Amino acid sequence: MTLLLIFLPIVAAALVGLLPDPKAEAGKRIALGVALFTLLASVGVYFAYPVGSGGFVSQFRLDWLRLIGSSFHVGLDGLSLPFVALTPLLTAVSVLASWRKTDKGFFALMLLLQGALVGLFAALDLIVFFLFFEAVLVPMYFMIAIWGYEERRYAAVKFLIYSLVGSVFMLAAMLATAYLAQPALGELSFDYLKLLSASGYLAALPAAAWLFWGFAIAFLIKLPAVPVHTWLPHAHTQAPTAGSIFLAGLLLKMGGYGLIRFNLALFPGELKHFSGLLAIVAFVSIVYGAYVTLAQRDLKRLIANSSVNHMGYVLLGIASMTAVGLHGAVYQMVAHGVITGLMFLMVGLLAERTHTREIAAMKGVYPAAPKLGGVLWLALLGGLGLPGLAGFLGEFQSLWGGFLGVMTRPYVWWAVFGIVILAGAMLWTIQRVLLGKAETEVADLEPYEVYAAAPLVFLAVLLGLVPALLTPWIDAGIQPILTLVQEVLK
Amino acid sequence: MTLAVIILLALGGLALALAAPNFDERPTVLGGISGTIFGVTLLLGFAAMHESGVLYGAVQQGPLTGLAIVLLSLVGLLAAAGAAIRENGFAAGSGEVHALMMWGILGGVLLVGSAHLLMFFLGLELSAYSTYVLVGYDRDRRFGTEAAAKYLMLGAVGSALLLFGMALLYAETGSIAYAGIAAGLSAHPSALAVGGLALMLVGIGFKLAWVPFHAWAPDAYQGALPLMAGYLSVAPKTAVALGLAVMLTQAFGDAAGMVRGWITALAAVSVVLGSFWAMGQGDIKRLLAYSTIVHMGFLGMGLASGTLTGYVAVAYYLAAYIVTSLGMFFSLEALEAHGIASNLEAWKGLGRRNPMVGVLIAVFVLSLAGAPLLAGFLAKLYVFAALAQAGSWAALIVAVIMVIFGYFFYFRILTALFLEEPGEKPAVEVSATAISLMFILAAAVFVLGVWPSPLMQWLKTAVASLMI
Repeated sequence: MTLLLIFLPIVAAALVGLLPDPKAEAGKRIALGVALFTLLASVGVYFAYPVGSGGFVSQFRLDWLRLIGSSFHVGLDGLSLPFVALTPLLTAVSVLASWRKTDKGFFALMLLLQGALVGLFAALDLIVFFLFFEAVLVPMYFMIAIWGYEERRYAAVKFLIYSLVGSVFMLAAMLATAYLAQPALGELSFDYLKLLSASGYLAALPAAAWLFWGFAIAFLIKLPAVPVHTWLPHAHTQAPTAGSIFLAGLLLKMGGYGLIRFNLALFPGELKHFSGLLAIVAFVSIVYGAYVTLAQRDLKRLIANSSVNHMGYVLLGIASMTAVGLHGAVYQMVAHGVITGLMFLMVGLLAERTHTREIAAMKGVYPAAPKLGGVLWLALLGGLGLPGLAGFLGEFQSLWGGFLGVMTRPYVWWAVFGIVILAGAMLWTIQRVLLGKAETEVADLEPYEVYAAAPLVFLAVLLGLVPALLTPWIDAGIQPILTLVQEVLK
Repeated sequence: MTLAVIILLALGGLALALAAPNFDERPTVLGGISGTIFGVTLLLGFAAMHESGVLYGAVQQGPLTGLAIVLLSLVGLLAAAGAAIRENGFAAGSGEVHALMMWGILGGVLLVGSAHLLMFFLGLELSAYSTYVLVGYDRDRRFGTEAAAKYLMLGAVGSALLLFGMALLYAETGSIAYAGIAAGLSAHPSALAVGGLALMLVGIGFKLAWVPFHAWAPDAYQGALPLMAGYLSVAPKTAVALGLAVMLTQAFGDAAGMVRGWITALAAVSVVLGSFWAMGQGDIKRLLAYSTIVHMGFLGMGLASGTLTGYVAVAYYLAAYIVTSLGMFFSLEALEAHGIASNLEAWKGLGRRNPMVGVLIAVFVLSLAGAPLLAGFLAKLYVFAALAQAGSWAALIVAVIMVIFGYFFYFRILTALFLEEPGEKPAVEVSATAISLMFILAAAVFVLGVWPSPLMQWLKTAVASLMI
């Protein structure tokens, strides 16, 4: 099943790319069909997952690079399943959001991204993880560079270089980890589960801090955390709507997911050692991200910057190393994927209609286009963490976890200011963009655009009201890691 | 079988050279003959891997010689096919191209198989002389002549230094056979031996285009026809790299550790400076020359690790580089044959003017950059793994950082291909031969990158003979 979820989109991407299909009429239908099919399949796997017993399901393992002990090992657990289900959902949304595009290459790249992202979340071998980590870069680069807005080249190159800087250090750290763990394992292996069993040995290595930071740099850039976040406003703003949805909804999650999967599970001692530093980074991201959001004049850029604030909570939750904080981090990632995906979708559709992203040039969108305005209203409220919507639970648990963590507690007090500032930014945006008297005609949502937004609206509300749809899975995913962490730290 | 290959290549080259003037109107006939001969030697190479012993005290038979025959015959086969991309043949005659390439391959086989410094030198010169002529083959253009002249001069200096080093080594050890030299060298060799080894490495560095002995490469690549540049980028490199691996393990004895240290330094400098220089290039052949320098640097890092993983990495790197680099240069050849110059300016919007060609070139460029699922990625990964295994953390960090710069300059090609507007330029047509060759090589790049296990296993058995 895992293989199907990874490779069906990739094969479909090749098919879409090779079809003689000048208007992409068939291409977008194939892309939508594949995304919906894999969505159904992944939702099936999600609900079939034994949350009581936990562990990895649908594992597949094939000897791949025998000489260096890497195998193609994939599997799904409670930590990866939410993202594996979110990926095809956001792909389907992105395809619908780009229904007016006529380039088959665009849809092929989306399918490639989908396959690579699912592969990344399912990878249980370090080299395979790296492979998919890099495989995400190339399609995203082209998506921004070819179909983006006016400064697309600059944004694409910046995205590429920042990501590469992180990934090459991660590769070096992966190689070093595997070779240094060799004496403990008795064999050279990049298998995640095997390395996990050697995490006690890894913790005692003198080079552990280097290994930790090799991984952490890659994930902090991806997350992104201040001060390595500067690629994000450009990439998110300049990317086409579908690209922004992918970036915010999924690519940022690679960072948080990686931090939990590798930094927390393999190097808990180092994470504990540096948790104060990470908490400072998180707090700065939260407050600074919110403050910068307040100052934006470009609506898309505003939402992009709010992501820096949102992902700060993720980092805070992880740095706390508490069960509540980690729950919050994962919940926040999923909620952010849904809500920010929705924000970018609406803003993209709005920008298509008004031909500008300037906040000053928009006024009274809600009276002019009630459906579009209503959904954007809901998304912005979700972005400020309104109770009853998904974002609140994530932020609240992250902060609570941060409060429970010894090293993170001093910074939680200050991080709370981030909430206030971001709420101000979001409410002010609502006032400026949505309220007031409509000055220009804005066409309301087409039916297919409503279909694109509907599942995200539904999920934003559902996850805000019924956390039981997500928490048992998160629990099954992080409890084993926390147990292991406690053993190692003893 | 090794003997049969040597004879076949020598006589085949002779026959092609003699027959060449009669076939100027039908260039493909000689290409077919040349391809057949290389096909036969390729198969004989597999058989040669199971042989042992030394021919006339000069050429070793064994797995590594067999590996060299297979890889080099593959280069010859592909190059012979690539000569058909230009449908009307070369202005200066086509038969001679095949003859020279065949002798060049013969030289490569001899230098890998040599058990003896003289044989090594002979093989190296045979391989070098053929490339001197091939580089200058486009003799009507100023750049062609200039390229050949520069390459010949610097190549001759390299050979002279190599020979001088050999002489010093002979003075120290009293032998020019690998085994005799190895016996005469200690872990702390005398100044004479250090000088000899250093000069030899300088000579070899010229052939591998390691910085600072690389100065000829950009000019030679730029002036040569793309097919010749492609041949130059893989055939002598494959042979010299494997030959150096043999020397490191069999000829340098206890001094090999010291030489490996020098190689690491040269390789690191090549990777760093090559990457920096490549970033400013607008001529694609010059850019690819610096790319070769960088690749030879990565390869050198693998060689210097001196472990089984390192040698397997080198062998895989060579195989991956053969298909990737030849694919890239075949694309250039196809485009130049249709009047599209090899510079970023002329390539603007090429991906829109002919999407198929654009995507195939993108595969080769991404493989050169080391993008995952392509051969170039695994090649680098194995070298990095070898560095990690050897604990060469500094070299590993330098190598991974330079990968970023690599992406930067390779993506300039992709930017020109796909992001620039084609303007008023018409659609691009290339011949069916070119497209099919490019497609085969791109498929090979992909298959090697996704399913390398069979090749890896085979390479491992071949290079394991080095470790004894």
